[in-house]
Amino acid sequence: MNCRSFRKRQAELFDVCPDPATTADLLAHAAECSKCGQELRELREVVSQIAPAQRLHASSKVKERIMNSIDKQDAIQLAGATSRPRYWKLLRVAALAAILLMAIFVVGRFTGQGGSTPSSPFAATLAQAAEFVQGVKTIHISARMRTIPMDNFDYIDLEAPLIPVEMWKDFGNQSRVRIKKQGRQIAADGNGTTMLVESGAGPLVFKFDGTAEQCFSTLAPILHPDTLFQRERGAAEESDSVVSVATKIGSDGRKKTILTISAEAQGDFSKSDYLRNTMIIMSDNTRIYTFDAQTSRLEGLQVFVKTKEADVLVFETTKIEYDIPLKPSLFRLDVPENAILYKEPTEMGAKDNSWMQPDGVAGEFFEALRKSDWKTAKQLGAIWIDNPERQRTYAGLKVISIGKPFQSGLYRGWFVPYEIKLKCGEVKKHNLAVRNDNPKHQWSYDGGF
Amino acid sequence: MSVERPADSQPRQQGCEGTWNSGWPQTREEFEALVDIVLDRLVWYALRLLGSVDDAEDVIQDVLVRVYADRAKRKNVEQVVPYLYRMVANACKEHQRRDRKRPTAIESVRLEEIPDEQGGAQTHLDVVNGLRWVEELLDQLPPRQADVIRLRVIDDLTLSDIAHILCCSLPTAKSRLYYGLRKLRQIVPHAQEDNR
Repeated sequence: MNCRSFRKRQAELFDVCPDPATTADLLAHAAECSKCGQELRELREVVSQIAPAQRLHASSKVKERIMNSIDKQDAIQLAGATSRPRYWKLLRVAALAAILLMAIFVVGRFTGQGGSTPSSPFAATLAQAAEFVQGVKTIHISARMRTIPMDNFDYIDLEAPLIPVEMWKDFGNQSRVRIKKQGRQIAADGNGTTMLVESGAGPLVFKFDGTAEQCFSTLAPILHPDTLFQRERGAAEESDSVVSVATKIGSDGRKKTILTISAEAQGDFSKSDYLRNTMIIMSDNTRIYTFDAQTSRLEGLQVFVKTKEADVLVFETTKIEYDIPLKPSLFRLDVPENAILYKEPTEMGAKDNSWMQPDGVAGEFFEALRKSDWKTAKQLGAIWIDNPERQRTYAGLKVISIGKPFQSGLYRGWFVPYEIKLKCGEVKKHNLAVRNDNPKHQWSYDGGF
Repeated sequence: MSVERPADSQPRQQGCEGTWNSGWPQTREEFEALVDIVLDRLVWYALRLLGSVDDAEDVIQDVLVRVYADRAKRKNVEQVVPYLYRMVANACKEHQRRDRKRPTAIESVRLEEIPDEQGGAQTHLDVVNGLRWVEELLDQLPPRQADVIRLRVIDDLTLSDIAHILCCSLPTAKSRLYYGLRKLRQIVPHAQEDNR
């Protein structure tokens, strides 16, 4: 080897893994030639001067975030590919994968101090969605929800089939809303809200001032894409949610932003799990929002509830339409003539019972039924008893036992375990819900019968 | 980010054991193996281009997620590591364009921006300050020669990978490294004196 070829190939000595044979040849020349040997030493000195003596490496969370993202990508793709009803079991598997993996790979955790800075993907995604909706006039959402017909709009039942839920909102001056599912519908025309429930005792009508969002708090967020960010951020902060944002190409070939929020159940379940998984907010859940990446338009929402055995899809939108014409009559309910108008117990002349304990209220409730004292039963909130068939069924019942009252989850009332025997011989064992969270602390029946 | 202290003060030769010779990862396991090999190096590279630890990690996360998402499309890519570096370089440019930021280089890294995970924030800052000093030196070289030196000495890439990243032949990469180091040899002693 001469000096010229040494200079030409000397750089190979600075490669990551120099070829041993080449190295030997080059070093042999450097040993023989003082000029080339000197240059090699000087260049090596330069390299050692500028090479970092210490290196930074990625923070430990980066890999977790990456693996979490790809796992969710897989889960979402699988869920998307198996969303037809006959593949329901596969969909559950996909959801299970998604949620389990999210439990393992924590992406970003919301705290009061950090996580959702305005520049974070989470904030940006929802803020863009809010911006988009500024120009929206109407929205129509078709969805499916795992719930019981007739029961309240927030109630979920993991064993129930998915039933259709339709929602409309007019973002005009009066912010009108209509929600409908089998056996229950609600309409707000900007001035007041009417809710119609097809109970076994006949139609029940509830009237409220303004827009009674407390009747559909689970569904309210997607009817308000403009405040979705604030709502989700608030909820996320409260429940220490895990949030991630990913992108994927949808079946329409357009880029989608997938916002996934995994939240723990809210409420106190230390005494009882009775209400766990009866509302989305009271369940460990994962909400997967799909936005069109270009327009920031909300295109879908899926909600999964995590249980020990499986992860269950409890809500999914099937269609979202924007700016379709909505008739004003859509936001008014035709109330049947035979409907029973719900009145607060105090409006029905109920005596002050604020001094009572929950189990005492339950005892009075059953006693009223036993004695066929329908007036007292109604004053306690059992307006559905105004039905001859029901009166025949419950008259003369016998109380076998009344247990110790307990509370569960976010519910502000109490549950009183009971066991009764009806005249027909049927034994009924359940928990009666009573509550007094009203200004006068008047106790009334709230369900469970 | 945290600090890794080599056993000695010599430049690391991590590529000997930690190269990726397989094709584009097609499974989760393959992808994770690739991430284990390239993550630190890519974040380091992005840090050099963006000057911000947080931005570097965000960009690398996006790039690697895309690597997996587009695995079917890229299954025929043979030079995976150089391809990744090009993806990172493009993503960093896009990041700067989107944020309407000028390239901030290393000097914008602030002490409070560096999480104190292992090595201590001050040590992090020392590392970053060292990089800034090297950048000042390399700025005095022809850009093509400086690029090869950065990729080889700072980013620890093989000459073969560097040639692919810079879209030049291997002899050209070697030549640029050699002449770049020779020029640097003239600058370093003075720079050291200035630095004292």
